[in-house]
Amino acid sequence: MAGCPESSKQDQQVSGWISVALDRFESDLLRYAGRILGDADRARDVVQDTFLQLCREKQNESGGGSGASGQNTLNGKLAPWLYTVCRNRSLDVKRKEKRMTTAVDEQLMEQSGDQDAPDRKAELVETTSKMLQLVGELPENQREVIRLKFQSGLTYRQIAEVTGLSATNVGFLIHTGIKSLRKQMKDH
Amino acid sequence: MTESYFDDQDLTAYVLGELPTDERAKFEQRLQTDPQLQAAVDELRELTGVIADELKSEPADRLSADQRAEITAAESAAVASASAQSASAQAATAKVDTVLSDSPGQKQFPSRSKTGRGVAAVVLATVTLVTAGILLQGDPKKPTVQSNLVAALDDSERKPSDANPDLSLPMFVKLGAATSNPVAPGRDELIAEAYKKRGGEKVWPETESLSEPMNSVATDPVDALFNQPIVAIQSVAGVSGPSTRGLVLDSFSDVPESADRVSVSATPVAAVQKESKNVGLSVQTQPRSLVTDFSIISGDSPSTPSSDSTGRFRGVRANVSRKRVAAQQSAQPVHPNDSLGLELEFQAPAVRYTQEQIQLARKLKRSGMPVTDYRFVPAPAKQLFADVSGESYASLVENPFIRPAGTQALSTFSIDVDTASYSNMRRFVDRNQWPPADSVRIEELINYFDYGYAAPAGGEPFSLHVESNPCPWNVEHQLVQIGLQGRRIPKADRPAINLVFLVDVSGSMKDRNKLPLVKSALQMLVAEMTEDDRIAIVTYASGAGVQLESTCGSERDLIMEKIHGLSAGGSTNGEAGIQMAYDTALQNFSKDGDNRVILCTDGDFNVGVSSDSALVTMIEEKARSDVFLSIFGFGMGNLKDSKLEGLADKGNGHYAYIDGLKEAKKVFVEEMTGTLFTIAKDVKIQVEFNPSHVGEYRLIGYENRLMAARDFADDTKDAGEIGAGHRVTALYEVVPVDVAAAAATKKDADVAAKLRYQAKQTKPAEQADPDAVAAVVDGKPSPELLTVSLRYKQPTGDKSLLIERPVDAQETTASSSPSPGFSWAAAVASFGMVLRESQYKGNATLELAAELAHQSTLPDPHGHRHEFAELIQKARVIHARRTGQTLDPYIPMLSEKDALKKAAVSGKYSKLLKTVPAKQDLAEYGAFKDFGKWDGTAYSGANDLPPGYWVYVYPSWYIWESTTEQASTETTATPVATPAPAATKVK
Repeated sequence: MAGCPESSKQDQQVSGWISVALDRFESDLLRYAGRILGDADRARDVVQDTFLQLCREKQNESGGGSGASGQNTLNGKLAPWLYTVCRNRSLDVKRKEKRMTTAVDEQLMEQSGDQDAPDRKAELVETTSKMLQLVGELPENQREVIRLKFQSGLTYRQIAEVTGLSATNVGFLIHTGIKSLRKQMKDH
Repeated sequence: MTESYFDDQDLTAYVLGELPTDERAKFEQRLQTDPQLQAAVDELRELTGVIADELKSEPADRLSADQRAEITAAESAAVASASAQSASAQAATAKVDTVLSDSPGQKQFPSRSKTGRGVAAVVLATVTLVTAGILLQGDPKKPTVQSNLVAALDDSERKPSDANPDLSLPMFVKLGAATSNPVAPGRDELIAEAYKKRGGEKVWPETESLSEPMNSVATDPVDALFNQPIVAIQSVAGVSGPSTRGLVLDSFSDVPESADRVSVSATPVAAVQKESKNVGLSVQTQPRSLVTDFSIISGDSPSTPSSDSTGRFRGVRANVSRKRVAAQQSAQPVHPNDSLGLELEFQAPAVRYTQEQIQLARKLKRSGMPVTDYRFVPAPAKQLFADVSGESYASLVENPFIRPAGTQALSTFSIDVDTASYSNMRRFVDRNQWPPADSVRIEELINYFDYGYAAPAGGEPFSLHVESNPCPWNVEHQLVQIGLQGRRIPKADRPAINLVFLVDVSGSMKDRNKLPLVKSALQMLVAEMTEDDRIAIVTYASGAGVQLESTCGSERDLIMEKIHGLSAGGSTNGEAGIQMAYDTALQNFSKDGDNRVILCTDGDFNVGVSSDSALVTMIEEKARSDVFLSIFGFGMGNLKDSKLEGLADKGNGHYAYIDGLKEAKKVFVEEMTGTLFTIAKDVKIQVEFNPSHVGEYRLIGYENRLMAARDFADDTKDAGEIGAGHRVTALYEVVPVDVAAAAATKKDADVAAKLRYQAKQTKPAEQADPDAVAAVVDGKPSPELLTVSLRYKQPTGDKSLLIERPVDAQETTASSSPSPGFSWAAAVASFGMVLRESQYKGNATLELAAELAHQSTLPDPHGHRHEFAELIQKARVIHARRTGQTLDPYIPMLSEKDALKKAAVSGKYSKLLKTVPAKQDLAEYGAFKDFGKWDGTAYSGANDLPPGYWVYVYPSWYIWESTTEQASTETTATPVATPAPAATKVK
């Protein structure tokens, strides 16, 4: 007994779960949504919605079915699920607002992400921006799958699930993207 | 030739681990026979590693604390409806509990976390891979986190029970291909990710008193992080056969349920504990990233985990400075897999989270730094990332409401006249950024301003001012303002000063807003010097040197020239510089004057071998010689705010942050005497609240200035200094006793309503407050609300003097309307609480802050108040951007009477001729503008306006007759209540 009521333990259990999910995916999803929307604030909203949706999803599952099995339904599919929901929400928002990514937004986004430090900026320009710049120059579809692969660590299959492409197609896009990145790096 | 290989889609898929098993086997066969294909694989692996690293290094955002809280709340709702589930989860937790309580020698403290678990323990799994070499692979982001961490931990003296800071960080541990490893043949490397999961509940170091306000952190939504039952986890992925020492493969592709996670990790904890041995850990030198400020620990003795109760790492910290590492690299690139040959000893399994670590984790959460990082590293990749040393702020946990029972009725703190937090906040807001919560110290914002307190009478060093009004952000509460006004010393009367400028001229000071600004600031100060003053300049970079021997203030040209000649370059050796500066000050000690070292730095001391605590000790020692130390922080990106504040505090000086010429002017010219002359030192304030009037009280700000009640009268305890003309303001939010009782009754009723086995009580239980220990004086409850006590020492004295001032409840409630000073203080406090996203902010909003500031009619000779009002508006824009709201233009809602009062400009004008509505002029003139003489005629569509003095108070112009002739006829303190003539309708 020892002052450890089951219910409070339970609470901790699950809020722990959502915290783990948040810690794991929050930043990656924000980056992903940010890329689609070109706006850090809207990305935050979308990602928040995504997680809220996740909570609802869980609630529905556990409310409907037998508890233990419900808990596992999302498990194993969580990453693609989150990305899919996040992507759809982002595209919705973008469509709805007919917002185009503007230079100003990009700037704002960088500003808010980059915790000042001018020397850091200089370093980034110096060492990393080349590759990022090249990635940025890839066609939209290649860029997205490459980000999902390397930034978010999804598998071809998961990416296929998220984007609605076939896995073969994803493989091809990534291959093509990497090939052109390699070529351009060589040229420099 | 080999180029064609890269057209092969299978190559890409293979490198990315995406080939199906059968094709993979085929591909590997090809590899065996084709060295060129192997070369292509290697090249592509490298390239993809770089791509992954760079993409992952892109700035990552975080959700706001509110957003997270909302999600967690939604999750809890889901939990409530699913309470039946997961019997297995509970079983797993139970198992872990067993492990935890079995942890040897672990002191368990009652936890105050609101989850109510009785024990608090955090266990870190121990890696025992006896023969495997472990390589730490740097995560691109980690160095940032780490350097912050190290800095933060260095700020306070490390307690013996401190866990190694590195434990609280995510890190990738990579098991090297140890040839002697019998269990992993045929596989070149195991990849392990030893990531840290924040421990469930807090474990306070033994030395910490549980009554400290820190314990309230659990109510913070950000703290959701800590409210998990998950113990620290370390898991190892890789090919481990059944015979391998119990570290279990953990897949990171999905987030597991915490229950699984716990049981997984618990196994190794239990299994491994008994056989913890020396683990050969070599730190991989990832160029430019990892070794930076990394604590490398060399261990030699075999550990005895089961008997070691402290649970900490032992070893030597080796801080390799960034610069050195960078230099090393340019000379000789370090191969990613080179090992430094340093060993890390994982000694004991139990890790305590110290307050610092917990605070740090919270800080990191807020600053958007990833605290936990689960990412899987696909292949060894070149690290291309710059190490970033960030700014560091000590975490603040806001003071809670306290019930004035027993000694809790005493609130004791040291005064703080620092203002650095204000200018630092301004820097953020000006750059359209919301300042990090922990950079906002509300007392420093409040103390930035003058509140028009009356000057002290006679020889007293200060006057005391107390005012109480309804609290603007919670009308049921009272807000008590306690103000100290230090005696002003006219510039002409000031004693001589013996100044030593200690200027950081290290390479990092090169920026435009650093050394060049320092130079301008010092020149401003020198311009104020007289021939009695002495000035010396000491600089420090790699070494320290006296640039200018102590020189008489009349030799201004020489001093100016020396200042002008300062240039930046080299590394930083602050310690030597401080030593030298103090020596110079002592050599020229002025007995009757003020002796002071003025340190100008961007905050990076890089003190080399000596720790921060040694530096602090030295400064404390020097402070006893009556040489004061004032610290001015410059620049940004590198600001070690917490460290600087701490040093100035120990050095009996004050700390300001100079973000531009304007601020330099404020500090060095406008408030020069305050900056340079201490009129009292070790000033402490103790307020005793009378429980018969006060239900609860809360000190706003001063979190890092709190003192134990018993230290108030202890003259050996250091406290804050007050300079000439400085003022100190403290605000208490007070819950009247009846309001507090009502709230408590309601809570009790809520609890009672939930009781399952009690008959429902229809009438409320009798409300005898058990703790009502009303002070009784002469048989009647004391009419006093509180008593303010002050202790201070003369600048060179050792014995403290006491001032006491009781405040009647009547006296405070009687005041009809808040004074301008009160409104202003309330405005600044609300602004600060909103910036901090304080849980105590009540109804405070930026608009409320603007409103209160607007109501205040304090004079603004230097434009600081106007600037503050602008900052609020900027913050509103940032806030709107953050929350995605559309911003309504701010319209101050002044009553007609107040608007008129404001338009009278503190009684400057008294006869109103006309008002002209002109809403649109807000854009041009702001909410308030004393425009001065204007010849009238037509304006804003209205014709035949009289000439006079025009004052704009949104939304109208007030036209006044000239002052002088009116002054004699109508001199009323309260503005004339004659209603303004009905505003002529103008289009």
